[in-house]
Amino acid sequence: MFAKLVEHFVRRLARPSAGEDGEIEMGLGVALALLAAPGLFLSVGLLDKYSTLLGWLRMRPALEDPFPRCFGDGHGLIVFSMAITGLVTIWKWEGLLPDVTDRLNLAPLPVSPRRIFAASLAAVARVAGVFIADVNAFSLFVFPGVVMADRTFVKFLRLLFAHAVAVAVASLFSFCATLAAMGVVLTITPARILAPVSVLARAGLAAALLAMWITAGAAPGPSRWFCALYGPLVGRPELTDPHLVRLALAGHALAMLLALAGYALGYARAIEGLFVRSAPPWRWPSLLNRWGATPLERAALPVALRALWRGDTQGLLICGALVMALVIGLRAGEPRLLPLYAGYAVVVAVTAALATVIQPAANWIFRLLAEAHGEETYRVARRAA
Amino acid sequence: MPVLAMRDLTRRYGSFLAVDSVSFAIEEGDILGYLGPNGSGKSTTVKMLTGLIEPTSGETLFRGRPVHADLTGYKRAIGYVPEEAQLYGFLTGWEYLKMVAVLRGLEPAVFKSKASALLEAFTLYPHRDAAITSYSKGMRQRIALISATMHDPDLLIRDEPFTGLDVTSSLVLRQVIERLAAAGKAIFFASPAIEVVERLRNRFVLLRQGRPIAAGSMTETLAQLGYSRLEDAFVQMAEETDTARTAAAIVDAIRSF
Repeated sequence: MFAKLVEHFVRRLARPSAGEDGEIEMGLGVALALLAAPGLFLSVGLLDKYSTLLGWLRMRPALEDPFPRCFGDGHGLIVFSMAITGLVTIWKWEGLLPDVTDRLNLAPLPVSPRRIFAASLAAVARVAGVFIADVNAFSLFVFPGVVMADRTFVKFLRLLFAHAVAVAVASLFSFCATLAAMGVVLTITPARILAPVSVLARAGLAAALLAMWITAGAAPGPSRWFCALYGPLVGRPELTDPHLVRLALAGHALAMLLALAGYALGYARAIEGLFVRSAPPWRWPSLLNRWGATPLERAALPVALRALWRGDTQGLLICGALVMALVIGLRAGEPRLLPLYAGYAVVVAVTAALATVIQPAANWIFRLLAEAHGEETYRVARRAA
Repeated sequence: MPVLAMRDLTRRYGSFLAVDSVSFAIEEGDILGYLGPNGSGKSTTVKMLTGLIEPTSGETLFRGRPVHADLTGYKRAIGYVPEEAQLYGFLTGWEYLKMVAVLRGLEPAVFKSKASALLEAFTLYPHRDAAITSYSKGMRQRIALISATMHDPDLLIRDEPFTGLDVTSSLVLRQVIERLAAAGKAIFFASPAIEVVERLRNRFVLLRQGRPIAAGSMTETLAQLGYSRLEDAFVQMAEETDTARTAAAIVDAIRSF
């Protein structure tokens, strides 16, 4: 019975990531292929640095000891793995928790709520394991292969083992930390503002992960801890800081505990809120209803905003792009260009959000503004209104 | 001893009192109609009965024992069909029924023969391997009905039993309910549709703003209240609306342009 429940939750998590409205649909196969590919390119890109043939052609001296240098490149792969794992967790955020369909179908069955929770948790862990393995599948073999191409097989195996452990632990840490953050947001946010806060929190987390990726973990942080695991795992503990190794182990254990607590709290909150209508839905500030030169513009703006922000995906897209632009702008070291970066990001994000508008009911308002004197648009608008 | 008894069941949502001290009992072979206008607390009661939400106070007894003493055992004995059959669209009809059967502990051979027979009877057998997302509303309702009955429950709970069903399916379902009751099963259904309760005339509870205002066997209770038809009792006691005046206002509004 438990195995069937786990299988069910795994299938539920693995279904296309869009809702039944068919927007931004992506099957599991496509998602896994897209996630695995960068690891291959990043690893193959290291050939230039480690290939003895290329080095000989360029009259570059061969590396006596590749280990110290390869830890830095391994760190890049760790950062990539952490960022992607965190981003996938954010993308699947809604699916990790039970919804009304789960409650209506599973609660009346003779299965204890604890068993359902345990099965859901087991399924989440299993799917996370598959994604972590997928993200690192190519780099796991290609990275040690490239670095140790002209070394002994034992050295290759050592680096493979060390790299496998380091990226697996780092990815799991990223997954657990995101899950814990999700639990905190769900637990402390009042029901009335949960929807927008959830989107903003996810956008903030996504931006932090992308910033970590873009800067290749330049700032000291968890990615450095997990990189420190390479030393002891390849049998060269003197190459890494033992304090960072301890931080990696302690941080990982703490993240797992917090993730478990966060998931349990988030799960309970999600169940509690499914059939309770105690809080009115969140609305856009009424100030927006008075913004616009003509009555048509004043009426259209709130509708346009609702159409743009009609789902979490669109909200996430817009917030994520905006925050990312700010991160890139700050990194570029030109604060006065920040509005330019932000403006560009908003234009790109709004275009992307609009491109996913498929229902005429969401489209008519934009057509009405674009073709203010088109009779057909007015007829459509009247029907939609 | 009644199959199911509710004692002073109450549910609050914040300061809003959705269900207020509801008490009733269902015996073996009973068909109990839970009648009331929209928002009167029917669905909340059904959700409490099926364990979807917890009551604020009061208790539910199943064969004399509080359901919380053995919630899993209670759920094993009930079958529940919600108002909207919100099933897993990514499963096929057969996969969905199989999942429910496994979670209900049905033997594979028993499941196979029962599910096949029920799918055949509900004219869904040719569609059993299609994804539920491609099913019509009526097909989903029938799948939900099969999943709620294939373990032969002692108590069948239905919220809006005829929603989404075509005429033939409704007629079949009505006879199914009557035959199950004749076989000693207890049937509880909530509905705002008077004709549904009248057709399945047995016993009813009339609800207004979360409180039961009349209950008992159809004929006796109506006679006591001084009504000849359930519709009259419903309009006078539950709705508190002058239907003639409302209808006139609607027609006036329609014809004013």
